[in-house]
Amino acid sequence: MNVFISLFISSLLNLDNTSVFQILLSRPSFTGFALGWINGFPLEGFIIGILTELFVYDFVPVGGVPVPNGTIACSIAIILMPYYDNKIYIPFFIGLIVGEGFSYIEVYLRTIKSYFNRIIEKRFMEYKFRVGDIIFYSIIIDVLVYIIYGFIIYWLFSWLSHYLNSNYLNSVFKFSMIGTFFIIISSLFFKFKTQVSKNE
Amino acid sequence: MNKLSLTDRILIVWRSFFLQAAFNYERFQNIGFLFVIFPFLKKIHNDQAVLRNIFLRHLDIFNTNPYMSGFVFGNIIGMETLKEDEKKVINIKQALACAFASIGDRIFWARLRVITSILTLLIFFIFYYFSSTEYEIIALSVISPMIFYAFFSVYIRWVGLAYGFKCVGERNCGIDKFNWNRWIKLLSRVGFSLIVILFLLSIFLYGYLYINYGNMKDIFRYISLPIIAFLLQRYFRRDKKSIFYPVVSFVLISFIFVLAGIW
Repeated sequence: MNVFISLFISSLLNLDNTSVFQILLSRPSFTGFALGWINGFPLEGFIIGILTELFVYDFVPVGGVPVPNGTIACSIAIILMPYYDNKIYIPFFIGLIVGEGFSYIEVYLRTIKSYFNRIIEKRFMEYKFRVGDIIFYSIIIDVLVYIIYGFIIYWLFSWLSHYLNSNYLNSVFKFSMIGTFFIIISSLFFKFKTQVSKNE
Repeated sequence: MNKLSLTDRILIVWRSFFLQAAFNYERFQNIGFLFVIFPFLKKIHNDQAVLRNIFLRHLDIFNTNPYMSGFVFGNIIGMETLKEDEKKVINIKQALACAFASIGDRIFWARLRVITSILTLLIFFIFYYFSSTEYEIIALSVISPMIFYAFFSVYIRWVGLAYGFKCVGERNCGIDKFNWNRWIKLLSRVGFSLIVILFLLSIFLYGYLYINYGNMKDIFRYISLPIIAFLLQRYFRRDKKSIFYPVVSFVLISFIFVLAGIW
């Protein structure tokens, strides 16, 4: 039940990513904290969230370019944690792959949504002036696709946990997570350094 | 409709939150754009045939930064109110969309959003050891920068709308409202200062937590981790490769080092 609630809440928060508001409700640190709270580990949820967030924010969504989805990345990582002895290391990296995978789904979604243009044009030619319902359907599609994708990934990696959850892999991904933190921090440092030097 | 009432402004800003709801690769934010100005066009034009042509015209390609869209909405609603020439409306709409996309992307996506994350981590690092409950400090570190960002983003939409409506029909409408370059420079400097503080604090906490105890192997392991991370980052980012490259390389190195018993 917690999995369904978590995925449903994160699918609503994910709308803030592109579709509605864009006031950072979908930021992974917030999603991670909220879902971590629901699932009983807010600190771990926050750590997964903030690391995912800094990783994802390295990509700039200029001109509608799809970027890895941090909301689903941290949501999946959190709901998978119980299958990996409540450790964050392996689920965090699964989350990053899942987030990148979802960016390809988003490309398909945006391509499919082009079909809405035909529907609206046809309506206008018939003097039926309505747009609001298309916006509504589009949001519903976003939510449904997110939940279905989330469930498939959850099912797949909870089953794979029998093979992936080992001391060796936990050690590998623990060190990788520390390394990822320093890669992100140094990447941000040089990014801002370049921005400042370009401005001078 | 000579001026926008408070209700009109609230309605436009509210609808502008849905600008990207039907984002598509054929015409980007066109459906969202039409959704925002839809009730106003219906108010302005009574003739069904004219209305249809105007709707179809605004269903054309549109893409800008969502936070800066207020400037475009204000201007276009103003021009439609004055029943300006079709070509002029299209030209100004596209010119403003491009200009504000560039400004908005640089301010919000490349700077302010990242600064919000850095602030979150800084607040968490600084206050974590002083707080009695982790819930409180996480909530504070996540929500306070978020409120700041959300307030600023809504403020820009609100101000942009009013300003766009005021300088209706001008090609550079709103571009002179703020000294955008100054804002961009300032945000770059703020971001750089914060990341320097975060970098130093992270190194200090990391050393305190991992390097000041244990045997030589542990100390070697925990000193080598950030050094390898840094070198990988420099190697791949020099060629502007995605951040996935250094991260995946680090995972591969971890596989080998753990297997060989070095880490």
